[in-house]
Amino acid sequence: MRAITIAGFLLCLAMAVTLEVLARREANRIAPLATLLDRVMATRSARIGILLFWWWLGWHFLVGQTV
Amino acid sequence: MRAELVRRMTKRTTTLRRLVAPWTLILIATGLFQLFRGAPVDAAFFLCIAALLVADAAGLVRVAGTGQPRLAVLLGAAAVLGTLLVLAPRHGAVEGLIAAGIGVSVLLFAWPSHDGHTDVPGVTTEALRRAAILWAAIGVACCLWEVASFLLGLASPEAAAEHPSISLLLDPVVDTTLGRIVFIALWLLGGIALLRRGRGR
Repeated sequence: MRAITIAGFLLCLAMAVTLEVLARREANRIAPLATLLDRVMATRSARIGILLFWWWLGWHFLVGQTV
Repeated sequence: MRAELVRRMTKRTTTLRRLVAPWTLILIATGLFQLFRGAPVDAAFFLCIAALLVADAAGLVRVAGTGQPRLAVLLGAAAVLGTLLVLAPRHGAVEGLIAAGIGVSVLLFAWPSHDGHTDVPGVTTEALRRAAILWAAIGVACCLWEVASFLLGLASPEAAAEHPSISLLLDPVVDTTLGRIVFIALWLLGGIALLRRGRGR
């Protein structure tokens, strides 16, 4: 079961990488992540929300008790 | 009379929709999950920022924010802070202070909105919509997998080992010096990249 759980996370990572590679090849069909973030983060709530998630990752692994 | 009632309800719904943007709802949901997880401090981060966004949308508060430093300054600060983060004991007060300082600074840098045009030539609305749907699907799938692992692992330490969350998997890596250096470098560079998004042209 542990291997299946880890495989699930790796599959999500692989899907993300594949999507970005496809987007960079065919930006007219799928916008690259940077372009999407430019559009999404133009609004304050999205911008602050996404940055909060980024910051919390650092807090969680460096400061908080993760385990 | 009925038309007046419908008009008032429509106005109330529009106001509510304007006050609570989708990302604010995401922050509230995340904060509530952190409470369920037994992490009240983490919950407070998400719920307080959500409250700040709602108050801002309602015109109750005004956060001035500051101009964002140039890229060279951000990279220099990241190098200094990153070194301090690597050298300071993990889970300690120094790391907490540095992380808190980074959080407050990023909030002030990112708060002001910009009127720049964010459209990129050659990228259609359809391409953006497709990307948004696909990235949202991947994000939701990953979150569901993480939540499922967390819930399945609650039963016992053996269950947690069979269904490790991302935290359980990455914690031993970040506990090593090399792992911490890589994590901190990626985290800080990722933050700088995100800070530069959505700023318009």
